[in-house]
Amino acid sequence: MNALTFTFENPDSAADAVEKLHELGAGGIEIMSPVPHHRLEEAARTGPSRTGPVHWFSLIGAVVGCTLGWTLTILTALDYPVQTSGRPVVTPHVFLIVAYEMTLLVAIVMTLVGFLAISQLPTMAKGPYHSASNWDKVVVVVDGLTPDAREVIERCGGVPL
Amino acid sequence: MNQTSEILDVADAVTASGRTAEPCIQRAAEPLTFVSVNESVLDTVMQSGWRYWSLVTVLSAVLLNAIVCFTLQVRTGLWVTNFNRPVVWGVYEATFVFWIGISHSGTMLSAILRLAQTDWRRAIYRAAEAMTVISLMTAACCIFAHLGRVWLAHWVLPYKNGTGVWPNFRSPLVWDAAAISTYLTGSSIFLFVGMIPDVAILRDRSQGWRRRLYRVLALGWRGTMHQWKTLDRACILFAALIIPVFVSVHSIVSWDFAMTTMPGWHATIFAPYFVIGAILSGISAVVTLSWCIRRGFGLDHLITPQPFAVRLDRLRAELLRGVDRGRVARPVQPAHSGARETVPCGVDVGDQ
Amino acid sequence: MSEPRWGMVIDLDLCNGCQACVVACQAENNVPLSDEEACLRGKELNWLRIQRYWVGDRVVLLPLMCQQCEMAPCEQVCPTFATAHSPSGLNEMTYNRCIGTRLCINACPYKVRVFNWREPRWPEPLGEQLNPDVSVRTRGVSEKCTFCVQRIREAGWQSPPVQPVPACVQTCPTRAIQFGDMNDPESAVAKLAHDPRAYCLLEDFGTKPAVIYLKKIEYEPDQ
Repeated sequence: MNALTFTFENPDSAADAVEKLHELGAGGIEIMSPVPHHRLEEAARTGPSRTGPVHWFSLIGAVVGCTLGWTLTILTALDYPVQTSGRPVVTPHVFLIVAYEMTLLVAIVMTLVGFLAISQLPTMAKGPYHSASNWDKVVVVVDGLTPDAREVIERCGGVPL
Repeated sequence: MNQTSEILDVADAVTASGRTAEPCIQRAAEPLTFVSVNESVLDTVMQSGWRYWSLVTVLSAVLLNAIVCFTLQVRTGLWVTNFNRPVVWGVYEATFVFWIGISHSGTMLSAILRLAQTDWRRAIYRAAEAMTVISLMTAACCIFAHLGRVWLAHWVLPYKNGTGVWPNFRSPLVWDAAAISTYLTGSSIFLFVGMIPDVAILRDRSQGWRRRLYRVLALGWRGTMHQWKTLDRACILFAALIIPVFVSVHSIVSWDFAMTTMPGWHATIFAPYFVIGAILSGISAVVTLSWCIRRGFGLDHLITPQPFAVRLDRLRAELLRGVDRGRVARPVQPAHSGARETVPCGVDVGDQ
Repeated sequence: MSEPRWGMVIDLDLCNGCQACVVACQAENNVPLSDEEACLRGKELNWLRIQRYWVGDRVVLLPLMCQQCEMAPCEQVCPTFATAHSPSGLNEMTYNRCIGTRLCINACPYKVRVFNWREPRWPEPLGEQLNPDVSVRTRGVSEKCTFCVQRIREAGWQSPPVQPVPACVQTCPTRAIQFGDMNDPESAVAKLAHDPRAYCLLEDFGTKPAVIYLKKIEYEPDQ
């Protein structure tokens, strides 16, 4: 294991370095940044798809919430039918309001669950981390560093930690 | 970066108006770095002076007064409010509607502006989101205060309560319970998830029990690209999901009034009128809050005048126009519905 | 025998505003007494009130109680089903379920519902006359005329069932208030409902009240 940590002053130079490392065929690169950066995300090529599967969690949550909303209102109305105002006991068009809120509530909660699951948070496992990555520098950790790779990084402005 | 162009805009505007440059512009002219921004914001959390503690003392005294008064009200009954028919709701419900309205802007700014990918939201959206969560909790206090038997307030929750029935899902108040709990949950989740990278900074820079707390709250955030991309995607989804919530919440609150038969209340204009009014008052609250934060914490160089003085004010003016249209529509409505103000007395005065 | 549909007919020609019905209702239904302080604050609690209108220099007296609307605006807005409709046409109150939101009071177009702003009080010795057949409501609960449902229920238990008589009907000296089963074509109320003077309050609201009023006829004096 020959993992070395480098810091870059700004995300653009870090993106340059990582793109060149990919051209060299180097693998095992982990990038940590204090801000999201489009080029860095592209360079990191993280995840199987560009869009990420979090929205499937939202969709499932929405469907479950909608079903739950209507089921709850209609079944409870039938459980203890109370005659009010001459209206029918089961009024699906009025229960739409509660079902709408339940749809959104469960969708939001499921989005949170999806986010936590896919980003693997909370995590007790300690991956490579340096607090500078949350402060002012982009931190790149390279596993299996070759001299060529090291030269590329230092040319792009990387400073070893 | 974007900050520079905004600073130049403001500098141009000030020069054109002939006024002398404010100190904030001079400070803002210094280039912003990650370190300077982080340190400025971190100082607001890590340091507290005598001003802060005196404010806390004063507000705690107010809170204590509220608890005493509320206890008195619960023991005596709502007699102490001197409400009477037909004004049985009075200031409690009005305050509740006000606070729910205020809470709307936080979500609106954050969610809509995030989806529109505007940059000037960055200085203010966190404070606005936090304001949403807190004003929702304040609104809940007003609701509890106005109930006749507040110790049974939990009966609006969907469960088979002690009397053997579920709540009446046709009632606007049960819709209220659903909508406000959805909105509170959604806003809290939105606020918390957006805060995770910032809590990670706090985790790295604090000591003792605070470090332990922030370590738990930061959920092990490392800032990897995978985490950032997932966070970005999740926040866009939250924004897209919370916009329908916030449109519905104040509509539902307005139906508390519109579902009765009161002549001025029983109108269809209520839902859009309330929502636009809510965003209006909420924007004003965000402007006020931003000003307080800017002055109180000395963040003049971060919260530049451009977002909250210029752009928000433009938004506020547009909304005020919308609210005025609603105000005109409201007195017209009872005439359209043919509602009458009094119980007719049933006298035929005929000639004999 | 079909399910009865309880209704009331009030003849405004006969009402003289003596308020005996108000007192009887208060006695029968344990309505909290409104003392001087309450009246000064305009907070008197009455299930039944004589609404007074002036037409020129003439007064019109309208005994106003819960209209027991078939399409009651108050029933659908209660979050806890504290008010519901019975098969016999009564707008029922279940005091135990009321949490005091007062939405029903706002929704009622006739404003006949009252709210217990504080614990009810009956100065001695009026506490001795409480009706054991009727509950005593606590503070924070909304209440209204029930057509003396305890009397209706008790009349139904008799064998053979007798005609129930609410307290206001029993007490009215001019018999201005009549009560009975609208489904029974022989009852007084069913016949009076077809009187040419008959009308309902706020008919265009669509509440379909069970209380029918008979218009007062006044004659202009000959010049």
